[in-house]
Amino acid sequence: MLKFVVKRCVSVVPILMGVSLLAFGLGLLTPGDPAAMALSRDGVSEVTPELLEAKREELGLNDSGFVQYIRWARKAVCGDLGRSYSDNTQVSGEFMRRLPVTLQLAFCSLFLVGIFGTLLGVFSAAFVNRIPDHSMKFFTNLLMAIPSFWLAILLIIIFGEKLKILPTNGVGGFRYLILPSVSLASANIAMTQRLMRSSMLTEFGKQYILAADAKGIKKSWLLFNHAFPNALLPVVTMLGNYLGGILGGSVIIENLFSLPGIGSYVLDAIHARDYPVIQGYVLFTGLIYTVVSLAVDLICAWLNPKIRLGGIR
Amino acid sequence: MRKSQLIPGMFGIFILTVILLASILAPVLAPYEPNAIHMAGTLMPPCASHIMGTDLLGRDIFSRILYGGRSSILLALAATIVSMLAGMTVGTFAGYYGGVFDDIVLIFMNVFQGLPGTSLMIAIAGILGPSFESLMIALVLTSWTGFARIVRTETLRLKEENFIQGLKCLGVSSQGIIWKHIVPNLKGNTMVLFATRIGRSILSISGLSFLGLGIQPPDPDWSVMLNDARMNFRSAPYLIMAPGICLVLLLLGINLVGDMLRDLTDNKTGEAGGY
Amino acid sequence: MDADLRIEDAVVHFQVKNGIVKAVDHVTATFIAGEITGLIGESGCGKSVLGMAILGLLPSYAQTEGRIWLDGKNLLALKPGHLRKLRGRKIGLIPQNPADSFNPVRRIKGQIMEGMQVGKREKADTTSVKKLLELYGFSPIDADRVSCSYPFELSGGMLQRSAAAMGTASQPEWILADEPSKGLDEALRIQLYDTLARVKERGVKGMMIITHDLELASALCDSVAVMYSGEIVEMGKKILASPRHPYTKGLLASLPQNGMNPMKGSAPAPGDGILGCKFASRCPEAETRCFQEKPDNYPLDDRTVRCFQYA
Repeated sequence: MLKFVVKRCVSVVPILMGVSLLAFGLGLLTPGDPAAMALSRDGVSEVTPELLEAKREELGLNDSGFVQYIRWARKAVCGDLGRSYSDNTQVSGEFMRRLPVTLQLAFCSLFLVGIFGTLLGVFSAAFVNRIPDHSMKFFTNLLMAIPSFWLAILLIIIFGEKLKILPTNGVGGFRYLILPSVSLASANIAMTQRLMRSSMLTEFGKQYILAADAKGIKKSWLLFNHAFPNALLPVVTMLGNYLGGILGGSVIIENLFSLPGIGSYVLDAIHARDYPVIQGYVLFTGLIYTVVSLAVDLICAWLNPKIRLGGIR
Repeated sequence: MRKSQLIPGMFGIFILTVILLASILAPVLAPYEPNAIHMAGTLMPPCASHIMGTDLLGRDIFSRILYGGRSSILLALAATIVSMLAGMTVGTFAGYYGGVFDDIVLIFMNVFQGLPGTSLMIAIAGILGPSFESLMIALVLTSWTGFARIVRTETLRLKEENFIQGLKCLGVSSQGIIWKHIVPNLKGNTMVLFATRIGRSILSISGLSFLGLGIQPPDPDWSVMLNDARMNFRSAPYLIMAPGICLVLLLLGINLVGDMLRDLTDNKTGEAGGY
Repeated sequence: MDADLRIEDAVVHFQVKNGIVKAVDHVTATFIAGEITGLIGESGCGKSVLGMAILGLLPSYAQTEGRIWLDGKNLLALKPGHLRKLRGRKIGLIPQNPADSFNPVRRIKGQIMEGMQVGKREKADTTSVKKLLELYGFSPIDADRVSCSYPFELSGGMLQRSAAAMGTASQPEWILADEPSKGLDEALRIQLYDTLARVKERGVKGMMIITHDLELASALCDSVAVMYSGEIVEMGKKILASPRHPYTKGLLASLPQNGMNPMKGSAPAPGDGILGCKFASRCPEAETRCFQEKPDNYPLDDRTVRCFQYA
């Protein structure tokens, strides 16, 4: 198991390096001269070529791209993502301050996805090719077709405006997370349901299910104690992937529900052309996503006795 | 495959046909100019002259709805075709020739999949500024890997098959093998993925447009209409109903057709399991 | 009440893309209580399908006709829920491929205990599991280790014995062993004979062994049914000692110790509509009549033979 953990952790390093390169490369794409922008941020109204050249030298813009990347990456590793163009605050500090909101939202919806996705998947598998299964198939197709932001607006109208039972604005405890999490989760629930169903069906075809069924155990026992744990493994792996979609989707949802997370931060930055923040956002979400995927992989490995006890390395 | 299993797929085709026809015939069907501002009749609820009402600027919602699918559908189609071509080219060559090129491609794929696609798309569109080109770049950059991955895996598998080995022994050129024997075999899988990706692209475009990073007003687009309605939907819910439902129907149609394609290309799960 | 397990005119067919496949074609047979009956034939002859039909474990797209009588109940007419109650209590299964027959993520102990809980004949606890494993030849220390192991940690021979323990944990009245000798080497086969002999000590009324292994069948079985292309061609006692049906003779002649003379041709595909005797095209003793008319099961001494020679 230890060897497996080390191997997986090492395999993440090149991905993180690639992600950082991409984030850095995005910075190069920014239209306009960074030196000029930095000057205007410093409050210099009259930009002379000499001032520009000095600023360029100061920011290291005259070095080769590689040197610039190394310098940027070294700072990023130490948690320095530069300063925001709009208010001159530390970008990483602001990210850390806002991160809890986004993570709460993401894990809340991931929780919904995990519970409802798998249970509905088992339900479909239990009635495979019968009416409940067919209706579930249509229902999941519908869920996948509803954009999260439209669902969010509908939920705001129904639960916030008409019924007035749930808050639709800002933070303040679990109740404030219900509507945003549901909006983010719904399409992912449908995808997980699909995956769980087919994973269950794959298990049904295996010999051990037949052998277990021959023992005369209850059908529910067969579903939940035999097929379910085995079918769950590939689904848990995918849950890590869905986090990516949830993180991306949270930009819209945080905006709609006025949640002060990293999503709304980057959206404000985009409108203000605040490039260090956008760059930091790419690096930050890439990091979160990679770390969570790694954690999920390790959890899966641990759930599988064959890997946990060292059968496979 | 029983006939009844085709019903959802046929329903999907029906929805898509209606939407496509409406989009194509919009200039004929629309009762008003979609961008005609009419300040005398703003925020009118559905009535006889405006069957879906009017928006904040007094534009006829029904006319805008008819036009509203055009940009997203065309853009999604274009972006998905480009991604598919790029992904297929890279995937077949990487899978067929292997070696250093394959290693590099694998690293690229891992990096692009190591980033949440939506986040990357938002960042790209945000940095490049809202325009058709930046939307295309954002979409293609985030979706080529999906095609490349399955095509590469499939090519690797095909390469080991006896008939390809046999062709090699007969002295058929690599180009000939790739174009005449490998690419045609990739049809089924890529077709299914194409349908899925079109749906995803439309979702992404609509999300970006809703954020103001995609299709720009005053272009009549369903997501733009939803964005326009953000200040008023609490008092005038009808503003968000029609565009939202159209978007859902379009995506539902694509999903249903995609499902049918999947069932037709591999019918494995259809018969398995007796529980 | 009839103590035997009787199959009357049973048909199992599968709907496939181009037509219907009859895997079991009007089989009538009696499995006598107190005996070990072997169900033998080449792979694909339908013997496993017949076994699964008895257990009620056919896939949902299989269709059945006829009757299988056990304790006065027709198993083929019972509802799935009712059948589930009979499994484990009335009929148990010793599955084929023991390595694939255990749930890979659960320990052996729990999987055997489940059977005991269904059987309700002894207390389902660790002690009974160990006692059961000891019955199948494990030393007390090994029994302890095996019960706490995951399937992938055990060797093929250990899994074989554990599978027998799992199948008989509920102490069923009838036990069905599906291809127990498949993929076993010589040492494990000898161990298997011992294992299957011990199954009787779990108080079973009767046992069916589905196998293509003639050696195993002649060593263990009191009577034997030979299946060919979905039909039983010969059934009774001492069949392998004195075969009557040309197919049984052919099977025996193809054994290594009898000179390894394989039969020419191959069995007809299950979908082929054959007018006469299904074996006629491969039969060295076939006459014109065999190609035109279908032979019946003709009684001969203490057996039945489906061949015009004995009509």
